[in-house]
Amino acid sequence: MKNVLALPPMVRALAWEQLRTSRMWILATFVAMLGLPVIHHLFTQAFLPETRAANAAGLQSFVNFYLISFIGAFWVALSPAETKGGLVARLFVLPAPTWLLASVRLVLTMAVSCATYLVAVVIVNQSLGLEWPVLEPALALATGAAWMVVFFSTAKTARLTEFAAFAVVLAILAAWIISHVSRTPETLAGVVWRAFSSTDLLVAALFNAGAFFAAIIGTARARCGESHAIQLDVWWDRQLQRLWVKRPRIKNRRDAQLFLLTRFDWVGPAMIVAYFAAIGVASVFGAIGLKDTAELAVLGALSWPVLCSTLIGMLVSLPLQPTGALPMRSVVATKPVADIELANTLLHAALRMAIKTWCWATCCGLLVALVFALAGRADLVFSQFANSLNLPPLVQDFAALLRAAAFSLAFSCLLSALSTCFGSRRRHFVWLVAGSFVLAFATILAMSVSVSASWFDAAAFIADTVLPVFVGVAAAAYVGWQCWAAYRLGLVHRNYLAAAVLLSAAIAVANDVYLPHQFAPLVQFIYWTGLASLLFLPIPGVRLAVAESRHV
Amino acid sequence: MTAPTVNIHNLGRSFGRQCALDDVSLQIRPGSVLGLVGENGAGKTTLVKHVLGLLKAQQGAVTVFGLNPVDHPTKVLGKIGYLSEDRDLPAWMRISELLAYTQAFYPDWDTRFADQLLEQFDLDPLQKIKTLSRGQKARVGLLTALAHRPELLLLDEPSSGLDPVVRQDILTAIIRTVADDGRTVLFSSHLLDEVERVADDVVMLHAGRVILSGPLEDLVGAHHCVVVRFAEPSLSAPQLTGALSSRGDGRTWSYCCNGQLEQLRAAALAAGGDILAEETPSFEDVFVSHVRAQSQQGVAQHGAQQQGAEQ
Repeated sequence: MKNVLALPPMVRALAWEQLRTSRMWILATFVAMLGLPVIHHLFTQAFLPETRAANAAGLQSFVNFYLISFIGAFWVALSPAETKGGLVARLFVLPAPTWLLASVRLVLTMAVSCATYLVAVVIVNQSLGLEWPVLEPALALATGAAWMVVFFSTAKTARLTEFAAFAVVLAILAAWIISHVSRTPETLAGVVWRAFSSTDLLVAALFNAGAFFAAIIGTARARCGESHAIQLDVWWDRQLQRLWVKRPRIKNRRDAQLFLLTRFDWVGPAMIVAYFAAIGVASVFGAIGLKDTAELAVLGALSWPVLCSTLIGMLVSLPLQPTGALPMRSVVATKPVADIELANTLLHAALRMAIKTWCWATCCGLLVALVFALAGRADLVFSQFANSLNLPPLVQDFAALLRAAAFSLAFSCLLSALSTCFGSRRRHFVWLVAGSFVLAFATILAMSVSVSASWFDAAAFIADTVLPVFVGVAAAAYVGWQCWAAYRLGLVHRNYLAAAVLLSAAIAVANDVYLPHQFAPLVQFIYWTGLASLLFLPIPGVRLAVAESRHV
Repeated sequence: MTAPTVNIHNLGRSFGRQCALDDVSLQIRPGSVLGLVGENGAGKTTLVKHVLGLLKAQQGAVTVFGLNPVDHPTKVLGKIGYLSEDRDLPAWMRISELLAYTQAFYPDWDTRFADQLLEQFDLDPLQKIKTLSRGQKARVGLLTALAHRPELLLLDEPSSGLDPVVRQDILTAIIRTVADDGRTVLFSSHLLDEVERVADDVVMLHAGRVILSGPLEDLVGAHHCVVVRFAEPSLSAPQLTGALSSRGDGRTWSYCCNGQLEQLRAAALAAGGDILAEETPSFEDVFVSHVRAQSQQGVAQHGAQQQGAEQ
């Protein structure tokens, strides 16, 4: 029996390699899938009227959640390639059949995407009390993931007619997936997913079979270096360069550094455009109505840049990582520039890109809202626009909208700066997360042996008390340690330390007075003060990272 | 007569407008060591990739062990050990992990031999590949290429990153051992002394074309160098019929020829020169002579084409 179930060594080796190389992407997708609904939930509850949060926000959260799962599948499909198009040449010189190379990648990407979605959606449903659909979206996601693998397998080797066929298949696939999502105002989550019929299962099977054969053909061509004149990835890169990356006007050394560090300038705008394109397509295919699209555009304009900023910060920090891309090491680090100046440039680049992304999101959001409002109620004059959109809560409470916008911009900037810091000091971040997990498990174990505490009480105590306190204390301690280490190396002035201490104290007092929270006063005080102290992390953190990376 | 391990017939390949290989034909005998030499961009790696099936022949045909490597990748690659020029190893793996991973693809993997090589190459199996030096990476690549005892060993610039001691002690010994076992080796290199030391046959590539091929001893033996002293100094070498290339300055010039010694002597005397010495050239001299001759020929052809176009 064991021999029957045992996978052939080749399959095991290929699967192990793909899982190993994509594990960080799987984890990142998982964290983003869990994190975004929570952020969005808190955001809408805090700044928008409850009546809106119940419906539009529910659908918005699910659309975001599902989009992230697709982005995750995209990266898992891409990761074994390492280079654009096809697999790495190293795999092609191994004596493995081409169909095996293609199918292991295909099946594993489908399985991993599916499993990540299932675990994340179960956790979200359980923790937030939602009823988001579970099985059908996972199956649709797996089918989408299969075609992402096809894209990466065939991008370099497809002919023009094949690209056209590929685009048609993708359009049908998107329509098929979107046609299953619809909205109902009756449920709190605001999302329903039409259950799969036997026809749907047949369609999914056909899509997957098509993906399998297309992936094999693409891999076989990539293996023997057969490429065609039209290479989509090269063309796409060129278009992005033209669209988003301005020709550098290098006047001084700051410009020169920025030129190297902002080569990912297009990521934020591209994600924003992709997001609005997705809700546009969803609207066109009837999954959401025109009014909803306008509402989603406003909500998306405020919440989506927050996620983009995290990605931007991570990308800007790439040159700092010893094993990452190398402009920092090979080009920038060898120039006569001080560590502090380099760190400031990195933070400058991250903030600039975050603000740019936020502006793009706002413009796109307003534009989409306007277009869909006019399309929905063209018979109304513009003065009745707000009523026609059912936007009065937003428009009437203009202060709330402005507050939400200010919060969104500030949060985007802070997240991009923090993710630059944590992206460049990944090891610290990992230790922080690992420490919190260890503490959580240790507490569960300790409480499980206690007679009085049930598992549920233990979990509630951990969620309400232990983790907030630990996160608060760990954050404050980490920031303090970073500030002190940077001060010892002469990377921050003592006035910065003094200012950080004073402002932290002020935040603590403000927290104590103003913040309403369900936790006990001491817990809330520690938690929010600790988190607020992260405001002071980016400057010393990035400077330390630059110094360590440069003089390793 | 035994069938050649590798048979390349009229192979042509271009990337866009750039011709990488032009009408290349060669055969590699079983049990022989073939050195592929040529300057940077001559087409060595492209040729090796065709043998591996990583590139499909646009013109001509490639067979390895009698099979087309593009159509039968599993059968062909299972008998080949390959060391790539850029040491394309997964940086995140440990050496032991890489060995276990690679072993999964080769049923004939010899664990004992791999351990022996690991010791011989002085490698720590627990070390991560990203922490290795360039030379150590080359050794790891060599180990994975050798441990399944391939019938054909393909080494693309194997010396790159290796210090001279390692080159002599390890690389040369391994290549010779593999060949002495009756297996075949194809290695590309621009280190001519190394090729001279281990290769039985040599193929010289220039701008994608084979300009010289055959047994190494025959090739070197067919070339001669003549040092000529002229009465009048000149900035460029006087042209002599039969000369492949020339070098020197002023009145003394050294000419190299390919088997046309008598013709060269006569031309030198006719041009008013005295023959000071006749030497047997090294393989490096032969290589440089041919490359220079081809370059001059290319420049001349380009000039003639431009003139034709203007007219």
